[in-house]
Amino acid sequence: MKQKQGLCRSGALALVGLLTCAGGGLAADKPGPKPAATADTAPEPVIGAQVDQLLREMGDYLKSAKEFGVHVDVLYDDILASGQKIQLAASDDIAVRRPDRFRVRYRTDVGGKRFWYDGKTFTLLDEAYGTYATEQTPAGIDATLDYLISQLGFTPPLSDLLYSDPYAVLKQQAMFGFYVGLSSVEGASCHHLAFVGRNVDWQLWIEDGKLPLLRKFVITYKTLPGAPQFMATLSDWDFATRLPDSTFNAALPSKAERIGFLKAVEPSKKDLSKKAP
Amino acid sequence: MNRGNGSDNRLRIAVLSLLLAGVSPLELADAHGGFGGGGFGGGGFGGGRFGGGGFGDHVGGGGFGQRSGGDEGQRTSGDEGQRYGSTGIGGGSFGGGGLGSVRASDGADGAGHDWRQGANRDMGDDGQRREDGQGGTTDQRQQNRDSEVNSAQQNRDKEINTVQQNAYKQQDAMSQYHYEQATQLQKNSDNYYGGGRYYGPVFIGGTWGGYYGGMAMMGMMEGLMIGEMVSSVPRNSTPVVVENNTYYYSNGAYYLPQGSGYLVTPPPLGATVNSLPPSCTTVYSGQQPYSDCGGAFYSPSGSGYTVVMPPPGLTVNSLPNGAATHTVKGAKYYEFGGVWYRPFYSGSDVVYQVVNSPNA
Repeated sequence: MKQKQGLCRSGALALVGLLTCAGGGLAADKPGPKPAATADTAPEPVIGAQVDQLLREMGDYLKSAKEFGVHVDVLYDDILASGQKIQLAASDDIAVRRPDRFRVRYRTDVGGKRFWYDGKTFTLLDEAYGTYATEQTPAGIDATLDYLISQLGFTPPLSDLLYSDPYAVLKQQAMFGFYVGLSSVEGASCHHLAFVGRNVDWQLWIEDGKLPLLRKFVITYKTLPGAPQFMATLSDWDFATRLPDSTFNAALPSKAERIGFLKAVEPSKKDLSKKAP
Repeated sequence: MNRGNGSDNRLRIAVLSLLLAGVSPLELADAHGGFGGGGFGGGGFGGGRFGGGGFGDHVGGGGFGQRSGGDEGQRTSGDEGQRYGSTGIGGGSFGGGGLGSVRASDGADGAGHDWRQGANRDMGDDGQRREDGQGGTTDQRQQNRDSEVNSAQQNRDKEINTVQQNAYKQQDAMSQYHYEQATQLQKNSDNYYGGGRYYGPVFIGGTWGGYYGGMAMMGMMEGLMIGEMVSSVPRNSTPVVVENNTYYYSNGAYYLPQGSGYLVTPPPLGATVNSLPPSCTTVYSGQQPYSDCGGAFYSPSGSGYTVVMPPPGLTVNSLPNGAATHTVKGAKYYEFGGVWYRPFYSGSDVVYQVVNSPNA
């Protein structure tokens, strides 16, 4: 307990330092006592007005889009038992049609996965294993993603952006948020924001241009040994293409083999006696 | 027993002579080169499985795994309703439930589950063990360095594994619970040991043969194959009595006296040994740890480890080499050493769950 408070206090001090460095109008006041005082309860989120506004603009733009696609180049850490960090790469193509379709193709150095949600059924295909599983999920992207998280234990990468209200999703997890500065991502000037969550910290780079597009997204898994990072650079935002329904239907290789999901709740009998199709 | 002490003594001697020899830190650094002991050990980069059960097909999930249990305890659980089943995007891709997703990772028990280690190597007892002989002068020196390096490496591994294991325990307790719910009806203890299909007293055949025939578990078997006759057992062998049969155990291999020689057998169910075979992976069924040593399962007992049948519901991240594929009533099963497995997604990772024999 004592230790916890100590940590919180030093966290607050660090925050003061950062705000001061950032030089924003926020730093003028004394933000110190507040987080420390609430250390034993859920800390009240401290997110600057500027940060909140930028996050909201980014999120609202996505929220307003009925349909969008984006390409993502990912670098992520793997950590060997020795503690050595290995960087791996992935590419990720996301297509979303609100309120009830998405498709994600995630290819890594060591395999690939595809995800489809066609409005009724969610399908996961592991390309390396040639196995897939399907699941009837609650209606809508939001409910489906929540179902994946709570029942099946995963989501497609960058799923925060797939939710109908990305601003709300991201803000909900933020304990602190501050403005770091302007930073260039592939030549585009971006607002660099940093957030602190309980298990992860994350940083967003939002384009300082006509459209408040997310250009980079870094997540630090700070509670894991070695604090691995997931670093995504987003490009080719497409809000114009209208994809046909069939795009969101699972396109399985003919030899793909069906297996079941291990679930967080008692599986129904069919999962135990699932037959190959 | 003998072997264990031998190793310890050797290590002590090695460390001592290291001190006496006054090897400088610089030299130690030079000696670091090999991945040998460390993360790359066992499984090795080679067979598609990177960090010894870590990487390979199951990256992300892979090497890193570690659902850190770290500060799990400080957290009030359930406050945001974000729960993970059993994790793991891994499977060669992105690690775990929600790698690349703040919402999925930052819930009540989130981040810990994001990266999943393909398999949790049991580094503590094996990875590093060296089988060096007595070594001459130059060899001796190299060996000393290796020992030192390995022991440092081993400490790191242990630390990491401890963190991991704590987290795994919690996680797997959950999956085990869910599975048990589902399989309660199916459970039939007869399937466990019954049918004589498992390790009987003479045990060749079935997939053990194929398995060892495939030369998997080389380390464990010290280069021997199940069913092979040898004229003597290794000097450090310890006798192990199982159902009135006296076996000799050494480094994962079991020898049963036959005529004037010894028959190499599969691990006999119920045998309790002092040290695990090399290259085991720790898996949990609820709170109960098991060591998966290439498809033979050991459970800690007293000061040693006992060969057991793994309980249905236990999941492993990779199958033993040489596991046979069966299709029963349209469903795919794998079988090795009398243990049946079915593939499932755990999170978005493919895992293999121990199940009752579909033929029982």
